[in-house]
Amino acid sequence: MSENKHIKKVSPQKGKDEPKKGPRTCLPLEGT
Amino acid sequence: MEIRRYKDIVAFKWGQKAPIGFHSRNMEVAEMSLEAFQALSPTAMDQAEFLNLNPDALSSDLQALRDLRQWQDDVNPEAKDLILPQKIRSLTLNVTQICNLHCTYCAAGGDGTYGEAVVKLSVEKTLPQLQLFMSRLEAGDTFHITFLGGEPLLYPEALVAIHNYNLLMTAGRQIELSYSIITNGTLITEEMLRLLSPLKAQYTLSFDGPKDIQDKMRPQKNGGSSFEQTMRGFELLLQHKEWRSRLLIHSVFTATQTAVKRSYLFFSEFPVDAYEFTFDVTSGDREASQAFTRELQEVAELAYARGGEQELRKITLFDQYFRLLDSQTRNLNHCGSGKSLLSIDSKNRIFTCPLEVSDKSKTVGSALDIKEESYKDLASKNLVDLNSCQNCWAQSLCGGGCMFVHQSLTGNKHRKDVSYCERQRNLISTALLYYYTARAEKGLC
Repeated sequence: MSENKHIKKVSPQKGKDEPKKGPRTCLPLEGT
Repeated sequence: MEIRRYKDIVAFKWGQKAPIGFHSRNMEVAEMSLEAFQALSPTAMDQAEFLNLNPDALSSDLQALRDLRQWQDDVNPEAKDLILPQKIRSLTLNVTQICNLHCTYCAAGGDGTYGEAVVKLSVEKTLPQLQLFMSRLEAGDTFHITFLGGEPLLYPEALVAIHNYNLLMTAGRQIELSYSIITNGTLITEEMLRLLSPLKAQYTLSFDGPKDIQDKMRPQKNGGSSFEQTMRGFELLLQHKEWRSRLLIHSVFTATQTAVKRSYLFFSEFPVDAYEFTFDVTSGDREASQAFTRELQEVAELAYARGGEQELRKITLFDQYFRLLDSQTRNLNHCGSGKSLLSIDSKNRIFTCPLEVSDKSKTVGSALDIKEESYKDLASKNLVDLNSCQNCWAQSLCGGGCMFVHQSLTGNKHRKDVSYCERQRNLISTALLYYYTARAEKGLC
């Protein structure tokens, strides 16, 4: 990531919680 | 809270805290200087305009402007789209279309019947449908069934028969089976949980909160209290962790009931895995939607103060945004409707959404006859495109929103209602604030 005086990025926590393999089934009913 | 925008960048300023920026294409979160924040154009939560820099700020801090332009033009090679499986890997099954409760906001036709009471689904007719979908799976695929109703635990034997059949059909094929049971919990007994234990299902318990709330929102059919029976089922589920996978609480809030904090405080006394707090999918009441949002934001604050990221992420909504942000994955599809998900009603008709079952004109098939042509757009195009969300900064986390909500509120599944988008954006901004807070503890770059 590039140096930027006015924009300080946070580093994502990689590899721990990948999203589910596909899109969610139905948010109002499942929410996973 | 103040919100500003510059193309793919949105930024928020809460009180005296440093502004937080989000680059929606790059899936990056950053702390921003006040000068950079002021160089963005003011906007609002009910707006989705693709804005340029604030013309009033153009002569101010040149370095801030350069830094902003650089961030906007950057391409993060780590950011990617969530790849959709081009096959159905998730089904919802209406095991019954009757219910012993009469929830005030029931989206299943008002009484769990979807307008057509069916006491039991035919297992005999359902198994060949499952076989059809499972025959298309390959080694390494997952296959998930969500058992719905009405109340699915009025017919638990069907769940066991379906699981036994699935085991036979996937034996030796390296297909991972999983199940969810969405239940009001009132019929649960120890014997029933034992019977269902081979499924190792996730239970989503539809439960709105303490007694006064639960009895007001989810009464029995005769108007009586459901609280004690629901609590009994809840306690049995808590007690028998060995017979299930996760236990989620699903609470619905409405135009007349937005007390999310009371529900959270009530449920947080119990060792549940997650809370799913949702707003009535048929309500377009903007004030109530805003009240629900404020309550949920207060709950987020409380949860984070109590247990940091881990406690906050027990609220499913925040967990899903954290996952996307950590993996820098753009979710361009709010749900898998027509892509990875289909729904089967108790008469074995097929739909692209479990909530559409009340409207028979939305049928896309029946038994083994699936009219894939009738939903080819849904199957092949991203919802953010179908729902015209290309200019919205929240698109990569929202995924175009719930089409059933859009249909309910505007009469068109691809046209959004402002109260829904405003709620989504507000909650996403809250998620971004806590994501920043949690990750900034480890340092900024």
